[in-house]
Amino acid sequence: MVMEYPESFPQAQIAAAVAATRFGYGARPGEIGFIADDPGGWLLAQLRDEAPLPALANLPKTATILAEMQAAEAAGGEALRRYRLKMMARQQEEAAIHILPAINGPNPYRERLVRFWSEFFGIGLGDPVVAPFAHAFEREVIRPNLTRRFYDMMLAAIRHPALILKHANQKSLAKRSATGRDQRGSLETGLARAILEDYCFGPGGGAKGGPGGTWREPDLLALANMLTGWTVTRVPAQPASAPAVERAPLLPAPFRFDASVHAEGSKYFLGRNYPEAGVLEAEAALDTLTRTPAVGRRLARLLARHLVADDPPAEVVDDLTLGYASGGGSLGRMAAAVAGSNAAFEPSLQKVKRPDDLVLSVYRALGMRPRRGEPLLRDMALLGMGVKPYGAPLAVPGSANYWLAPARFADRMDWCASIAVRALSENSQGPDGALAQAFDVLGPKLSPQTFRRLAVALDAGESAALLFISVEFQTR
Amino acid sequence: MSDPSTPTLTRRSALAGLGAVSIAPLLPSTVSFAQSAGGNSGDKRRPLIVILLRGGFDGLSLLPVPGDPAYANARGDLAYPAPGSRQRYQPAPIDLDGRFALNPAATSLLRFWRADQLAIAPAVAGAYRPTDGVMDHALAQRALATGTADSTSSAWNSGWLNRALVQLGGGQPPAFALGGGRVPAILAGSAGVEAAPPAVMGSPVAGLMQKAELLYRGDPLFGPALARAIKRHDLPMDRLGAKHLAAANGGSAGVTASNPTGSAPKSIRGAMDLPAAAALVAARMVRADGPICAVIEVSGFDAHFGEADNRAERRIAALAGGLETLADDLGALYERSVILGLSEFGRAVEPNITGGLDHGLAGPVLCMGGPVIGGIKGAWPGLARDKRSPGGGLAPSVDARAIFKRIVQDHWKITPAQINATVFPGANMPAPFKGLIRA
Repeated sequence: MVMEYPESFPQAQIAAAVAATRFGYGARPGEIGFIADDPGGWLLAQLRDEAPLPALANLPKTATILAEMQAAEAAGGEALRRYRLKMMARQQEEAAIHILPAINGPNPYRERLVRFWSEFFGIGLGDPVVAPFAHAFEREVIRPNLTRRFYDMMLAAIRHPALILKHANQKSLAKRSATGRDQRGSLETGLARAILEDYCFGPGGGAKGGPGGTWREPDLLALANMLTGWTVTRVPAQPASAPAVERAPLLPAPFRFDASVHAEGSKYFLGRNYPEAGVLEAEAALDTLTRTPAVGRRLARLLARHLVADDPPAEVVDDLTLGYASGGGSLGRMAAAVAGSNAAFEPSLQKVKRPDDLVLSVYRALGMRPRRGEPLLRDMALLGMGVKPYGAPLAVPGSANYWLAPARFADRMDWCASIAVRALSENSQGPDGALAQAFDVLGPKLSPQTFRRLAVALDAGESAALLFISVEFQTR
Repeated sequence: MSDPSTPTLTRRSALAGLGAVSIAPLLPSTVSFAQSAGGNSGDKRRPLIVILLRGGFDGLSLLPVPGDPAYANARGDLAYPAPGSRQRYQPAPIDLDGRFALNPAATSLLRFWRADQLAIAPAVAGAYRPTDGVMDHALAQRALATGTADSTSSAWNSGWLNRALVQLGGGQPPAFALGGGRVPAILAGSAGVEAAPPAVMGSPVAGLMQKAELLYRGDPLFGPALARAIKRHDLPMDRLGAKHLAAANGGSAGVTASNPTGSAPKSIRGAMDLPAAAALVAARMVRADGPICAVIEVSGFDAHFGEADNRAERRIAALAGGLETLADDLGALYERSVILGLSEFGRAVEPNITGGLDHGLAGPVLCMGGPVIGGIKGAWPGLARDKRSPGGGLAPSVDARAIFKRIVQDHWKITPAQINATVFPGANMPAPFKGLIRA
């Protein structure tokens, strides 16, 4: 008996196939049927599942890393080099643990959002100064605030040593401050600029004003002044005898506000006067910023671009913007708006999978549940995506142009074909079995054209190879 | 695949095993196992695994040398930024010792470096050293395999690795070779060798590119992307010729001349298979009747044409992934294993007009494993023009055979007399390299 291409599919099947591939990391065999019970509800349930992951519980805390970092920097020279090597190696180990929930866990949509916001803040291995924090930042800033307000995530981010040290805010000194009157020093504007440009309004603001130019140089300086005194705790030298991990509970919190370098007086920021209030000034400014409609719209557009298409339709951006605004700048509501957006579920939209998407979805399609993350990381690296390979916000290329560049695309096809034939070379299933497998992991996404090509494949290995390189599988 | 995965049980039981198919049972295992080889067998085995990176491996991409004053100028567009500099996408190289840095695509090797179990000799050449600097893949591979460039030598017709196995005595399981389904030249000789059939890596999909064209027909994105990926490099191919391609790529894991992969010409081909090949080899090695020697041949390291789209990084990721897979999958046996990774030669220091790298004399040799004394090995010849070899490659500071001799002497306990008489016979042989294997 030869399997026929179905004449039509139930709507819920179509939505389930989209949900699994576009918002999750691809379907496991049979998973689409399960999701089809309630595709939107499948996404929403993931957002509600806020239980911390036990596998990440025992990894080093920011306070510990900061203490080690300061000790290594004080020692300098060879000790500092050894420390950096150790931290780079440790990031590889942590990455292997962090990747497992995306493939084995029940919440692939949640994990995708974690990746998105990690890349949004850009604390990765591309910046050696903050590389030791790369995964701790994700654990302590991104994950706990994933469905809270953008304000909460932003506040956690700019209180974190990674952003303070990256922008040298610990050196920022206001002239009009207790210390500034006695000592020379300068105002650091890097953190304020990152907040305005990278995290809120996007590039194109600043002195010129104009479209998107919702802020001007005096606003930048005002925000920088509000942020004076936002610094890290200098951890006193510890006896080297006790291992750092065990000392961690005794370490002071990494963030510290130093009133002695904080700019006195009120600040005029984005058309509003902020009376002198120490650490509360920047918190108030953040609150205003994260409730600004233009900021919500930009975040919605970025998320839509990550999830849906390189150039997302306006309807999707509208839906997400509304979700964000409805919760007073809520990331959870924005992520939930995806579940209710017909435009976001439009089957014809196409987003080429990045290597991480592709590797996770191939492993899932093959029914694998790896116990260790290293093989996944190796395959992602083979396809050109290392461990958090960025050193700036939003630096990870997401566009089809980048990932389908000739040599990159050639290697991608090779990898897909190799893993398919290796996994299936012993499998003696007939063409029907192979086609059933294709429907199992793509559902209605499988086009009649590809169906016909798979139907004439010589064996299961070739069929899976063609499945993995097909347009439907390569896109989300 | 020896990937530590367990399949999900789904309603479709025929498919449930896809993920965890073990390929080891495919391999014939008719060989009886005997205790001999001077204690180097069974539970006390001290395995040696050789990875041959066919095509000529560029050491300066694996191990950039920002500490060399000529580095940035000589490498031009291929130069990596200094360690410690910020990168939007792609981490900066990792400072190893103030002079050498490690390509960030090889970060997974850092744990072995930190454990002092990864040695890298950046400038190594063996017997093949043409005075005009024109490097030929086939001749260089022959010299690497036999240990001599002298066709009148008694060593010319067998591989040095096989000759070393002969010295270990009979009764041991045959050496295991993965790559192209034939015995690699380095293992040619009278000691038993089992060459895995190419099918263990999965038969390549015949005509994959043609089938992809059919799949992508009419797709505005993937159709043109495929056309670009399979467009041949037209200019330099005339100069190099088909024979060059065969020599650079043939005999690789999963790739043979008679069994083309159907890969796109712009892919790095066999190199991508290295982690999977390593998993197969490790699965074979850890068996109770596993051999003490294995050879993996992979291709994809020839790099004449524009090294665009981060091809060099992916190659290095494949190499690092293969080494890491071996170490992980060998388990306890890793502590007694030496893994040797090397190529028939290196690349030119300066990129050519396409942004690729032509052949160069000295290349890197990697040595990793429990008994290995890590670190950068051998003097650094320098990158300045007047320091280079004829043809524009690195000048060698270490003879490959000195490394081989040290390994067979200290790791396999073959006596210097045996080595000089049979494994590396002849005059003008270098002395064993000092400080590579823990005694």
